[in-house]
Amino acid sequence: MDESLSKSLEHAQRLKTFNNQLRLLKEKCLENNIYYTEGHQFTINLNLINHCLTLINVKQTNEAVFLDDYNIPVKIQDIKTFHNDIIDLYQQNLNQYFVEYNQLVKDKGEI
Amino acid sequence: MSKGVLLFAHNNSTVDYVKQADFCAAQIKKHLNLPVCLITSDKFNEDKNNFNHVIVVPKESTSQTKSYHDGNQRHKDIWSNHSRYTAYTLTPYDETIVMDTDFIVANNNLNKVFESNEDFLINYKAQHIDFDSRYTEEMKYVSDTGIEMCWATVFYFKKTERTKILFELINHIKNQWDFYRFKYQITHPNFRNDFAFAIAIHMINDFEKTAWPKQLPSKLFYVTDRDGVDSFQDNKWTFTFESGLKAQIKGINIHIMNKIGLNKIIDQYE
Repeated sequence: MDESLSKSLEHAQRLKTFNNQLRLLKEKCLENNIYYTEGHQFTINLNLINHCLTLINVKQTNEAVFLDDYNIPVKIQDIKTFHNDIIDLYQQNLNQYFVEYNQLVKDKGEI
Repeated sequence: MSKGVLLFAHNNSTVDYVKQADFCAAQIKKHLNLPVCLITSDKFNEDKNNFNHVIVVPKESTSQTKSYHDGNQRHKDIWSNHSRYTAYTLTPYDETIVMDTDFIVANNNLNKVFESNEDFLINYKAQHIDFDSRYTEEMKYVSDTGIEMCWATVFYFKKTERTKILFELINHIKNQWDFYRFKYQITHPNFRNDFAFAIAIHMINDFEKTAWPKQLPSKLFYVTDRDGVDSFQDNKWTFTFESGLKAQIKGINIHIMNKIGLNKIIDQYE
């Protein structure tokens, strides 16, 4: 095989491995963002975090009904605690994602 | 309420499921910190093992066979998988996670099931860790025109009237497998727990898709028996896919369908 073609294929293979590893990292971060309260499942994302903040700041309330991952209404009795818990978990997972992402970029898809 | 994990292991001449169960139990203890109960019809090391309880059951009489692949290598052997429905009656726990011995835990996400109000949780979707894999597409339904697939690889239940009925239905489907596989257009003659669970869930929901049961808080990632299992070190697995592509995972639970490859790694690990 022509050397340049062989190099191109090798590069393509490495890129594919890199993209796949990236996808795995993202999936891991998403899965780790699942949080349970009152027996209901919430996937933490920026919408949920900001919705909590809006309720606390604008509505000046510490109790409200939320929709869980399955669109079931749940009364959260203490939004401040809920917000603290989800933002802690979210940031912790994001930090881990950041560290592992940088390691992956450094390794450039080498396994 | 007591909590724990239930593993079923019935050896054949190709796969030592009990050895796999012991490795699986070690990972469960490390990451989930839960007691493990083994249900087996085979010998186990009574002096050194990772089980908290062992329930010995009679050997199943079955002529069902299965092809075990290790990459390109193929071995045909007896496949004893008919006792999963006994989980309800045999479990020593109030809340139980049942898992295949080739499902290897690598994080504590499954502990979240105990915070749920649900009486039964299972995965409807499975994802090959090669995101371009054709297998993921193939595994969404029990047949081309059939109902949605569900994966009995790992599931959670607490004892309720509904879950009791569910397990009784699974037993009934197992006993009448030829009828149900015809009814649900399943071409493969072998009894598979995944199919039986999917059918039982469909029946208990009055033959409709409903919101019950909900999904586990952990995605079911897998590699097939055509993929090579290269190594396991520091909670990090390395695989070589059928396509030649490699992948490495750390901290992700994984269903390793290549049982022969998995056992080779366990031998090296010990």
